[in-house]
Amino acid sequence: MSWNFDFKHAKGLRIGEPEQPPASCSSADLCGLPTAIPPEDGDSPVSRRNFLRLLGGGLGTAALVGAGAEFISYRAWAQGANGTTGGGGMSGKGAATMADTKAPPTHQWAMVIDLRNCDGCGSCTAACQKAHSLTPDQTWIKVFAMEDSAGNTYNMPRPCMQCENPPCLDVCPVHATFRTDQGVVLVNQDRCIGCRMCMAACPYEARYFNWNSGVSYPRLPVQPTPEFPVPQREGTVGKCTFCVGNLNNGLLSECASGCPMGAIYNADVITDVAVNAMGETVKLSQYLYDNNAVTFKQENNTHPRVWYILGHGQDLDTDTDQSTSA
Amino acid sequence: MKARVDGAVGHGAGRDAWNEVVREAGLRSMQRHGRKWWIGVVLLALVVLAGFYAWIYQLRHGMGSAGYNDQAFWAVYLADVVAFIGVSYGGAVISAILRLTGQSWRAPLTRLAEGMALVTVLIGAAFIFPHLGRPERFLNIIAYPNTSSPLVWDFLAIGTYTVATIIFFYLPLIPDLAIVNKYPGARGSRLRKAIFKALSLNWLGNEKQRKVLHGALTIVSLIIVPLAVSVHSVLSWAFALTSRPGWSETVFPPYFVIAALYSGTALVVVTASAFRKGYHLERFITKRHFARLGYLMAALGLVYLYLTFVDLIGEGYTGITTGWIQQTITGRYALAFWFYVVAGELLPLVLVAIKKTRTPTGMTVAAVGVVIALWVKRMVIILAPATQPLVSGSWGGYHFTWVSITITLAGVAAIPLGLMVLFHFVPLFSIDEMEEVGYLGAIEQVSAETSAAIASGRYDEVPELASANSAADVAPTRVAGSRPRLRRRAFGTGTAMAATALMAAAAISLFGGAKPAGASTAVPFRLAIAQVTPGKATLSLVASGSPGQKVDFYVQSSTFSTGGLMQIGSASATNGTAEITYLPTWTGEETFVARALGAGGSIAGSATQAYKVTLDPAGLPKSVYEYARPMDGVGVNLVRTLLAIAAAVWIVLLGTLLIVAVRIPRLARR
Ligand code: SF4
Ligand code: SF4
Repeated sequence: MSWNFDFKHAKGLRIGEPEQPPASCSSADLCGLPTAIPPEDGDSPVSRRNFLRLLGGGLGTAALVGAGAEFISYRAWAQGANGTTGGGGMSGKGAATMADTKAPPTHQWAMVIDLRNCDGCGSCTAACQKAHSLTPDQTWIKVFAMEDSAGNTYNMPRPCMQCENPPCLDVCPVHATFRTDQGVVLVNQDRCIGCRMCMAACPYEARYFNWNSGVSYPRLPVQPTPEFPVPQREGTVGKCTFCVGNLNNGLLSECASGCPMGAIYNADVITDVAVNAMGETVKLSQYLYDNNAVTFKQENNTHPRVWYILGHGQDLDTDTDQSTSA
Repeated sequence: MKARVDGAVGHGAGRDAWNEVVREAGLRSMQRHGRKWWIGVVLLALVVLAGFYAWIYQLRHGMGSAGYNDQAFWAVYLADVVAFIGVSYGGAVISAILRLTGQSWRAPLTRLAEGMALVTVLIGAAFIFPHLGRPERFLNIIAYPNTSSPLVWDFLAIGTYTVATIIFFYLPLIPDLAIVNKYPGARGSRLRKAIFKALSLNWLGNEKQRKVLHGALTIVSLIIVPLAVSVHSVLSWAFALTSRPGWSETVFPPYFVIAALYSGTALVVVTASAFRKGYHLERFITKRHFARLGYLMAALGLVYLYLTFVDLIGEGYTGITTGWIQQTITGRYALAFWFYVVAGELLPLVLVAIKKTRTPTGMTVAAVGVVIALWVKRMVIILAPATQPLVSGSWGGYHFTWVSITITLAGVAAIPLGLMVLFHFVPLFSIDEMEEVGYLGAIEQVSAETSAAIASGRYDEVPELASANSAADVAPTRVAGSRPRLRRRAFGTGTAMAATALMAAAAISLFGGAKPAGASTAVPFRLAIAQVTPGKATLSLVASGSPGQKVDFYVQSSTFSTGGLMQIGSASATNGTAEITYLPTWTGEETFVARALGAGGSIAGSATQAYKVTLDPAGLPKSVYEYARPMDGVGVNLVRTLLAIAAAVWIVLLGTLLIVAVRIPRLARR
């Protein structure tokens, strides 16, 4: 089975290009940056929520969402304004209104994974599992052996994509899955009923259930929280949290700091920086633009916050990943 | 109406005789039961109990014990939910449609179909509990509903449908409750009589009462058909609203609706066949009934086959995401899929097509095949897309364990058990309907002599009411012979049935009582611990210390710190003690340490204390995040519209019930 990144869509990443600040953009320095998102040229795929809202508008009295709303810039949208209500920043009310009423968050966490540097060693997985006391099956970040359409193989670590339009959030019947104003999708394991609807909905297999009791968890002197859900609660679902607690304390995520190749960058959309464990700091937008970064499965309209820079480990000077036939 | 019937047929005496036959037969299931019945009930109850045991085991050991894993996150219990609620739908809709179209041959079948619908919808809904990882939090769906989740609508639809099924079962029962109470041969405990009397709403059977009841039944029949369509559509959207290839299919809602109808019709056949054999109802449920149900089943089967093809052809042809199709047709699920094709489609079609096998036995065999094959098909529909790799890599797989098998078998056993118990309390066909339309139906079908036999009360001479070409499974003499034995005793005095104590609330008392343990050290420096409010997540740690002395508190932890001590706070002593409040994260025995610090940070004293922490989940701190409000997520007007529709359905259902309950007793007085 081969899976491709869609290069066509990579052009949608207008990172670094100057943009006209859209009407809804509340502060100039937040506008005009990464517009990685389809809403453009009027042929954008209709998102689930938009679709339902249009349907609802048609049935009821609400005005249809006009074109103006579609042009909310990525940055304005990313800075989100109402990420905390779990609606991914666009539910019910216009984003502009919300932006007026709430102070913008100072960070919007993201990640860049440079596949040219990934040798598939699995250190990220190990570090994550250790930090979160996971079972060996629970690979919140998992390194997949991939093959592109030319038959090349490469390794692809897959964390939770922290989708901006997360299908897992839409289908959760009890709002146990929510999105913070820092753009991180988290699970409240004290509310989750364990229906696993989110596992069905996630296109990236990023969610892992706590199937078995009798797993011995460490005894920690801190409460499990959605940001640091350790120990995991049995009968609920868990997934990568981006180690948002680390990030907010100025530390790298466990996987990023555990990666000996520096392939994983923690990034912030608002301050426009990305950092890896080698201490390499880059300007996020420029780096993505220069390297033709893509997101995975763009056709699903999930708008991942994880960008990939494609490659086959060539920066590692190994020939194992370069072979086209074997 | 009665007069009209009599007038039309013209045999007043025959009418009475017919009524007598009908009453005797309808009440057979309520008479004292033979040994076989008891053995059956006990065995079935044991299987159900085993299911409860397995569920408790699953609760204690996690869902992994039922064979689940991250690539088979949905499996057997969801297939059970879909299958059981599906057959329920079939029963209800068959009965509703036959009522609405005024089919007189329906009379001996409606009660069985409605009873089956009632029993299976309850079982199906119960399967949601083993399906959930946290069944005790089930009511979160009401407390924090996310209206953009299909599961919330599932909950609403299934709940509404269950209520409708109960009402749909109750309404046609009203006349029978009155009949049973008046029937001289029917003795029951006083309690039962009192309940029946209350529920029968003073039913006299006069024209006006009939009109009210008939109107109410029409309304409920009309509602239950689209209601059931909605239930199965929403159920299918739990799959189809994901992006998973194989689930994200436009065909899914009708696919599920037809599957429900198909398997439901089949289970009506099985139920009818079982009760026909068990209570010798050959004279009422005839070969012809089976043939008609067989035709219906075949037609639905063909539609379902067509939809299966539709489901597979699109992606199969374009080859976009064919993994799940390959696995279904030739891969790991091929055996199950082709079993469905053979046992669930070819076999029933052949058995219906050939006249020789279009017998009750033949149809029963076909129906059993359909019921089993459609459960298997549901498993394939669920598992093939669930276990496919979405990113890369290998297929997952589901493996049955004794837990999931036992729980599923318990559900299967609960159907006959539920029906046997249900029909211990109520007549197994609608006596009233049989007296009215059934009479017409009978007269329609029989020859002149037979009708004369009925008319003159020589009902033992009445042959099977359909064309009795094949006598293979009809034995009127046996019926006649066995009747006295069945009638010999009237009701027992309400011997307690092996109660199907369904859905014991998942009361998982997680934590026991507080119990301080261990002795303090011999050092004069002491540490005392108290759970401020027992059960709540706050501990108060108090250590002795000279005024101003700094005391550090630790908890023993194997994870973060060397030496196993993790600092949890420090305090300066005032009034001879230093105190901190600590929020523990774990229940059970924890070891706490307090260290009094001397000059230069040296340890002046140390005390250790073990303490058994008890926690009440409600005492845990809340997340700082706000969550979405109930209407967030999808267009609020869509939500409002849907809720308004649901509310309208509830109002009509309950209003109809209310009208019946108010007007029928009143009409009796006039
Ligand atoms: S498993 Fe938990 S987080 Fe996932 S959809 Fe169900 S309730 Fe929400
Ligand atoms: S990757 Fe999956 S789990 Fe993570 S936000 Fe997206 S849909 Fe949800």
